[in-house]
Amino acid sequence: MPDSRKPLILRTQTTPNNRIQGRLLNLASLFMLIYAAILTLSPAVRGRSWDVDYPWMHWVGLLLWFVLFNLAHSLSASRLPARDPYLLPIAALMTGWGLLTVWRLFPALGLRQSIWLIPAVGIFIAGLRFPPVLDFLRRYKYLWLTTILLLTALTLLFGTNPLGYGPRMWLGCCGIYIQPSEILKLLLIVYLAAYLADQNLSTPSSPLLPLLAPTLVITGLAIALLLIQQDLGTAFILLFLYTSILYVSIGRFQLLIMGLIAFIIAFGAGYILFDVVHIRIESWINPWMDPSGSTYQIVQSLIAIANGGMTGRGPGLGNPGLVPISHSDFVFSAVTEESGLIGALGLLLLLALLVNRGISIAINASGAFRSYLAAGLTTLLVAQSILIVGGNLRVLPLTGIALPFVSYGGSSLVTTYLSLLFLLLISVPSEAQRWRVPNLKPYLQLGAFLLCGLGILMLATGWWTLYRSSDLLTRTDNPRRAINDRSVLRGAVLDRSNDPINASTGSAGDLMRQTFYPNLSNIVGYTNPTYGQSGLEASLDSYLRGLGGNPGSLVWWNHILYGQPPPGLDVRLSLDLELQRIVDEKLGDHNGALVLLNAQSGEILAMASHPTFDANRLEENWEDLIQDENSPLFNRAVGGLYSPGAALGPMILAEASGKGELPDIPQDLSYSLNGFTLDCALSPSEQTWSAVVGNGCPHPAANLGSELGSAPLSQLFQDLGLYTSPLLRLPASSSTPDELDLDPAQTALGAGLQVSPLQMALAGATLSAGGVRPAPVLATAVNTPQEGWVILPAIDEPVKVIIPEAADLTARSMAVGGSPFWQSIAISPPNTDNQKATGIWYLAGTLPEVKGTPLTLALLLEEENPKLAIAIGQSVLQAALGAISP
Amino acid sequence: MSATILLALRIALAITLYAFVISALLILWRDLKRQSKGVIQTVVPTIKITTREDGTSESYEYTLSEVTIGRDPNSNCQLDDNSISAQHARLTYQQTQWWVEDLGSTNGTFLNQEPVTTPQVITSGDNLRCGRIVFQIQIGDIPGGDADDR
Repeated sequence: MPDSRKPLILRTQTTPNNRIQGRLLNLASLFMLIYAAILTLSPAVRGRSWDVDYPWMHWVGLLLWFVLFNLAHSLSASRLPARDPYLLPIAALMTGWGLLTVWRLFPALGLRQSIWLIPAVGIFIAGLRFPPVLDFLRRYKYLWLTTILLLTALTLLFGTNPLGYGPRMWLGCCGIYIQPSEILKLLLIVYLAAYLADQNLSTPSSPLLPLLAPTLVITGLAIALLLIQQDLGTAFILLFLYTSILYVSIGRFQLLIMGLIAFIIAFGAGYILFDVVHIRIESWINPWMDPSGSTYQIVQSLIAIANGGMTGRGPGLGNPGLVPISHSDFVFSAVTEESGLIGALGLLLLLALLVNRGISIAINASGAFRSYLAAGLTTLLVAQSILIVGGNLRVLPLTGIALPFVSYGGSSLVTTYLSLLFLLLISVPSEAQRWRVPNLKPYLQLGAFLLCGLGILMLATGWWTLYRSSDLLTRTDNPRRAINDRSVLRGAVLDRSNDPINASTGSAGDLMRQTFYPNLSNIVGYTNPTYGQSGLEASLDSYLRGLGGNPGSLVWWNHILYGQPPPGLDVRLSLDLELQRIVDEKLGDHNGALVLLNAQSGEILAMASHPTFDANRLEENWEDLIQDENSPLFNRAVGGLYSPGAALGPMILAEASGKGELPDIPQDLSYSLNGFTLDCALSPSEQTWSAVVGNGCPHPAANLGSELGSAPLSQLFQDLGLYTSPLLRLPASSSTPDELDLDPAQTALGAGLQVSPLQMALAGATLSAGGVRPAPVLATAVNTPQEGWVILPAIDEPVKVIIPEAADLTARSMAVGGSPFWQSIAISPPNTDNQKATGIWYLAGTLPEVKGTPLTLALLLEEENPKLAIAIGQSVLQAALGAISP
Repeated sequence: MSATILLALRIALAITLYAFVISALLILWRDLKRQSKGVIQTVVPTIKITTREDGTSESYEYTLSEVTIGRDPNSNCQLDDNSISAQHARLTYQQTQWWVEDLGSTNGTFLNQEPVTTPQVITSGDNLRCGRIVFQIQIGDIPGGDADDR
């Protein structure tokens, strides 16, 4: 089928070369067509609907690309039939890929880049008609170089930056900006190649310095200019180019050592002299230190690359625009996010092909000048790619240079196409001048070095896209999570009768998280694009986001199709909104925390931490909330740690009475703990053990501790779960006692120990549940698409702590007259040296003979008001008994 | 639905990209093999030029890699004809192909009736006209054979 191999518009002679170039260009055109089609259709996938706005403008760029490269193809085919047939298609593919990527990121810049393509490819085409351009360049090498050095120097005076900030390396007028340093690189190569070609390099032992003196001066000048401009990437490229061209032409190993020394000196000087270098190096070595400040770019770049994974999110389907300057410096991360490891490897393979062709052209060139020039140009294109791609991948420190062919930038595009033109002209064999490369080795070594660099980049891309992907994507500074939350329904958090507490409302693309019961905001938490996640929204995120509980294949398929998780799963909590309402109402404006739980199953029926906040109004209140000294964002019920004082007395009493005879009740009921005189919370009406312990009298509790002894007491506290954080799918706090060899009397009063209201409730549950501490449960079930509601079992195990009879007996002895529950009250001594009590503990629970659900309640009220604590606790417990018991 | 279509397109995109890379690598590999073969046997396939003039035909055979045609006595193929320039055209063997290029002749060189302005590839059976002299080109021993196969 010879017809299919013909290029699409203009007919050219079918020589093998033209056929290869035509076929490769056809493949590139097909790539572009598919890419553009995907870009047009992508909003349908994003919105998961056909009724969306489809972008068409980038087809203009595609058309322009198509026309220009067909012209370039047919002209190169007829003018230079013996040229290298690979260069133009490689360039066309990379340019087109970059063009559509830029267009996809910022349509306005895409249009500008398309317009810049006209002069770039135009100069290329014009140059094809004028092959002597190389000799012309060679002859007037000093003139060109001086001109461009002057232009570069002018940027020191009149330099500007099209962005309005950043290094001022452009000369601009009337909306057109030119970066002379781009052209400087090219002309320096021309100069070096021309100069070295004019020297007699055949005698191997001639001294190097006189030979190199002029080039040293000129290259040094150029590098100095760039250093003053702080264009460090380009300065480094020049140094590398200089070393490479010298090595290729002279072939002496000592040049490499000299180059290395020069590089180390420049690097060290830059590190000391320039803050920019300092920052770049620091953020290269440790990018995680300041991910919202100086290392923001590199961290975001790595997250974008990680989001690409193996297959990429698809053109138009990722969020590469989240990386700053993704159209130029970070275009490789944009490509990798949307085309994945597969696409990135393809791009790097194209560069590897370029190395192969460039070095081969240099070796087969018809003269020394052409050979050095070809080697230099190949090095320029590939080394620059390695430097910037390496920067994106954190293989190398970040430098602000363009990725040739792909990045946005007019000057870069024009320079790149000039390089391509020269390479193409050199690739044409000439009969007029027969010249053989005297020493092949340096060329092959240069090629191998560049290929090694590309190989390392491929490995690094694999590392970030596959191995480190999940670590990076679950980072809280990955904005894609918040974006996904707007388009994928997040599971709801429900109470025990499936009434919503937190749920997402709105339509796909515009989903909002809403809290239907704001008082639970510091417990259920929030999920917010700006402030991240907290509470159960954070700890149950995997289910709510649909990553846990769904079949792996569904998660995978959604990830491949949309780059998003499947719709999230609803999670049911043990909380009862009716009881919760009563608790919040009773606790009101008083600071403190309350936990009400089912003493047998450990299910938490109500949990409150006051003051609280409204997660629906996080944006307007955030500053106040984080500065509020009462910490409304903080969940006191599981995270607040308070000194227990004599509040653990009932459990110690039960344990002691289970062990044997009780000691005599001391006359003086108060006790001095760490210099603080701890009193009973209320005066006991009678001198019985249950009365003194139930009113939180410290001295009797201390005596009970002494009676039990140090080791059994520690064992009791450990069994009560006071030394460990409760496990309940919500991070909870605990303290470990500082000194374990304390006097048991002090241990009994919780010296050196702090407990959370949740821990206290679980410990108190032993008296209502026959001596067993239940395992806490807050999230009870998750609604999976396949099996419906699936129970989430308790993480912890129930622990038998106290002999059942002793527990029941103690509970009965502390019963509140006429009520079906027991209660105790105690002062929470100060946490620190502060001479003021922290508040009041109130602990209560149902009696063993009560039918129905056994309940336990723990309240910490942050004010020294025992009567209020009793009032709150009793009313809640009575309401709960009324609501739950038949 | 839209996502499935796009997934198919994305797979096609990746296949196209790798078709490009792999076909380029394959051609390069084949070239390399041919070149290494070419280094071992640098035999230039014989080119036979037959002129047809006034019913008589005359054949010239060359095993050189470069054949010049012209009135100049130093030409490899020297023709005394007024329509032929001193240096008229050149046939060269490059990259396993025979090429013809015009050397700025007065009356032009024509390959299969088309004027030769840039170097063109010639194959067996081609008609080459310099001035008013018409040549029949035959490359290698068998008429119509491909030079590459030798």
